Amino acid sequence: MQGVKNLFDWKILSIILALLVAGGLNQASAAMGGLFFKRQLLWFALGLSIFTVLAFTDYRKLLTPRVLIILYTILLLSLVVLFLKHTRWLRMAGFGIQPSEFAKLVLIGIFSLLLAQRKDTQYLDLKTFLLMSAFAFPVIILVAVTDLDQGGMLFLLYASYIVMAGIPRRYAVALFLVTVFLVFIVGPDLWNKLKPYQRERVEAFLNPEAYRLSRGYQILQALIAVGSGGLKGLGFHKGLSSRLNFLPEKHTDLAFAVWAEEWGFLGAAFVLALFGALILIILKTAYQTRDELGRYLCFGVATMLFWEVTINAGGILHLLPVASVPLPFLSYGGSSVLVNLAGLGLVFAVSRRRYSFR
Amino acid sequence: MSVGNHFSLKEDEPDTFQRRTRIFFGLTVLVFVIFFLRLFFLQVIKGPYYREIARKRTLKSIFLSAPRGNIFDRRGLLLAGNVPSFALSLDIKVVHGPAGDEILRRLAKLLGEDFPSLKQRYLFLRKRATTGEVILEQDLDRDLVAQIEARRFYLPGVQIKVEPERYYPLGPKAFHLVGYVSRISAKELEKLGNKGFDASDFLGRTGLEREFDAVLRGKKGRRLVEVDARGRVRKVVAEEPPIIGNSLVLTVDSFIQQTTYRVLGNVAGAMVIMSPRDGHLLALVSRPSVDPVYFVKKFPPKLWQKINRDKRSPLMNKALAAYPPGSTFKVVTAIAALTKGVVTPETTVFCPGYYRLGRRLFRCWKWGGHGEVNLIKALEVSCDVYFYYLGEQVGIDYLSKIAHECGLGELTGLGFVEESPGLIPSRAWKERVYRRPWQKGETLNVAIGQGAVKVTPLQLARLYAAIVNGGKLYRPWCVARIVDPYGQIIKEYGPEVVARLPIPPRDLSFIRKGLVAAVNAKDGTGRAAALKNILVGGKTGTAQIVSMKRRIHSKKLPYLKRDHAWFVAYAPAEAPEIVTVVFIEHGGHGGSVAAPVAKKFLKAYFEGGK
Ligand SMILES: [Zn+2]
Repeated sequence: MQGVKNLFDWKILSIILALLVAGGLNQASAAMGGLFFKRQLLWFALGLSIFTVLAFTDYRKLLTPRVLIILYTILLLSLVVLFLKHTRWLRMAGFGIQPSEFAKLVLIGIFSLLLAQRKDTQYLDLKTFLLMSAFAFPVIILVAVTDLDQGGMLFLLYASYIVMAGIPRRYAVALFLVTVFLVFIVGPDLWNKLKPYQRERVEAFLNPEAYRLSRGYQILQALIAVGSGGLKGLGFHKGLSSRLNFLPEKHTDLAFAVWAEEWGFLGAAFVLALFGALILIILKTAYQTRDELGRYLCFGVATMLFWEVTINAGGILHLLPVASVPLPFLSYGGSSVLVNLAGLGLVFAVSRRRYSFR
Repeated sequence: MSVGNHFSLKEDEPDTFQRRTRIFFGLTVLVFVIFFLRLFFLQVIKGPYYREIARKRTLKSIFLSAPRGNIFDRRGLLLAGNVPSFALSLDIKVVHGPAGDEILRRLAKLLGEDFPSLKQRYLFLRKRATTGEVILEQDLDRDLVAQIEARRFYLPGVQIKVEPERYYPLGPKAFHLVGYVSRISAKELEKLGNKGFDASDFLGRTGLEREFDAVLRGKKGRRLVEVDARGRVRKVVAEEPPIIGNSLVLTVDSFIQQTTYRVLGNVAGAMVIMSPRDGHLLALVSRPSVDPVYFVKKFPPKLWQKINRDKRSPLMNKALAAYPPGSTFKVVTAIAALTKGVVTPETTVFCPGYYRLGRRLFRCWKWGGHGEVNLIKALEVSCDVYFYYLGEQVGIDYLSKIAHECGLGELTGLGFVEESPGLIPSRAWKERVYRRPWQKGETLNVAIGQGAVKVTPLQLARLYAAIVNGGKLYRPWCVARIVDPYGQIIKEYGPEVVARLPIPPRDLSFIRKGLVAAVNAKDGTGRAAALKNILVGGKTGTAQIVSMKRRIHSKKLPYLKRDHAWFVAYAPAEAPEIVTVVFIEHGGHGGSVAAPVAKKFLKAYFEGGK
């Protein structure tokens, strides 16, 4: 298939644009005073520029070990600074930047590079595994200290890569046994050692009514908002829950609830379908890409999107405990927008040349 | 999808990466299918359920209190009305935490209270708050209101609420007549809560406020509002305005009411001023009294304690409570004897100072006796022996029947729940209550208004009104009409003749002559009530509380054993305009204690004297 000219993936682009429109509309409705809306548009613009740059750059020349080591060092340094300051935000010119978001991208790059370079493509060899872990865990631990949810998110990304890289059966069985041991033997002990607010989150998930005024409040209000959207929704700017401030974190964590309330099942299913389609298309791109780095990059971005959407929407739909993970583009957040668009830019770049590097 | 894609997918055996990608592909599809199903379940199937919850959560129905109707006297002067009252309301969702402490600290400065005690009070009230707000202070003075309003910006969550508050211009002077309102209690709210009452409501407790509660109350409005998560009103969805209560216009004259209150003085007792022409009331006073404002606001605990301990029962409406009537009852015995024909007005009875019944002697109040007395003389000097004789002649059955026909032992129809029907003893009553047969001697006691007989000042007023108006027993009434807030008459009341005295008018005139003599003749017992220019008729009464062999001067007895003093007067005797009943509980001798009070009143009424 060599010599096939560069492809321009209209599907990915139009899905991204559709999601950006939905995100913009949602911020226009959810955000108070329009400030978040305007800023979100600014982030979109910035994100699209990064997307464009990355989409038309040769990712293989960009993601060299040297660049990634530099990025990784910057990331680690800023995480240490945050750790010392006990905050999640890096303040820059009035905007808050969340290094934990960027950590996803850096780790995707590093994992992809490591996996692309190994010789055995069947199973993960020990050396690669140790290297991946050595890069991943300092970041995961540093992030988790200030932001447990993002830490978990990074761990899921890491775990997905490990699974994708292929775990020999005996290790898989051992891992399974260790998990069982942890859950049933150490689990209860660990459970009791958790801080009350951490335990409460799971308990509130199991019984939100009992935690109606604390943790469960968010779950219940989100359910009410989503449910009252009905088939067609209450209409743009007419959502009772968001307009009357019943939804906490309505422009960030619960932005999807605002969307579901105002646009109903049709709108919510549409947005979910866009995400689903986007993830599947990226996975398909990964499938079609012969270049090892490219396919792992695509896989990483698809996995990142998958976990972001699953954790966020799963929490709002009361399928999973609520975690503070933004929904790409619909939730307000500059770092999230930039990271997701950058990731998609890489995917786009891979997609353009998917048949070129055999 | 381009042809090339299909081509490439099918071309080679998939490598490991591709096989695993397929698994991830499948997992993603699975997860999203679960999302779609869940979304469909929540939004389409459970949609109406959640929409209902959302609606209930955001819509709140607020009662709009309806201003209570006014009570006017016959001149249109206010007896009960409303004034705006300012309450300090704190939003419990805003006033909490460190920011709340700051607000409380600022408030404490304004209120002149120290911060810890204010905070303690606030936290206490907050625990019991049911509506999301705490009323920290009621009845703020206007200066404070102005100060708080000026600092509104620095006091978030603090609100001045304006509510109409009941106001009684005459205060204690019309307390028992007008009655009072007080806030609904938690217990009552349990019962009335589903009838549209809420914790801010006031209920009429006594007097007109109670009897006409439904008329005065009006109808509460309702406002359906949308509230946000902080409980703040964002939008009014619907509003049903409150309907102001209707007002009462009384027959009572507030000047006469005040005069009555003043002349009765600082005693335990009551006065009723009634028009004999149609039975309307001009004044109704009971003393000691209480300022109803305390019920509306709050009683200082010491005052409340004092009122509850006062053996003179300030809260009781003595004009409607029953007491032994003493000699004022003698007119009933006279009516009974005349209608039965046991005596004529001219019949004389000899009073040697006692009356012998079997082996018992019944004393006349006058040691040595009155000699030969006829009806008029007997009323003039209030000779007990004459009425002992009449009582024995008519018997208890007939006497009690006539007493009932005179409106005694029955509710008058005024309508106040405080009213007592009084008691007219009879054989049946004695047997029912004491399980003993009636004794003849008891009839003699009843004949002079002693023993178990009990009447209310109001009953006596209307009985004497009937005696002076030719026999028409009216329903006592004090509400002339009910008017709506615009002054349109809703309902008008007028005189109602309930019954006629069972005695021919000619015989009644003899009784009236006796009553005039009692005030004006040389030996009259009620001379203390006589006026120079106006002919007054009346009857004294001195009701013994404890029976004694010999009369001891009341002042020597402990207060609760002293006699009740009565005086019933009417004037002018030729064409009576008013009947006044003076009752002084444990006051002593009617002629010397109650009659002067009646005189003072009549003087003020007819001569405008102070
Ligand atoms: Zn005598």
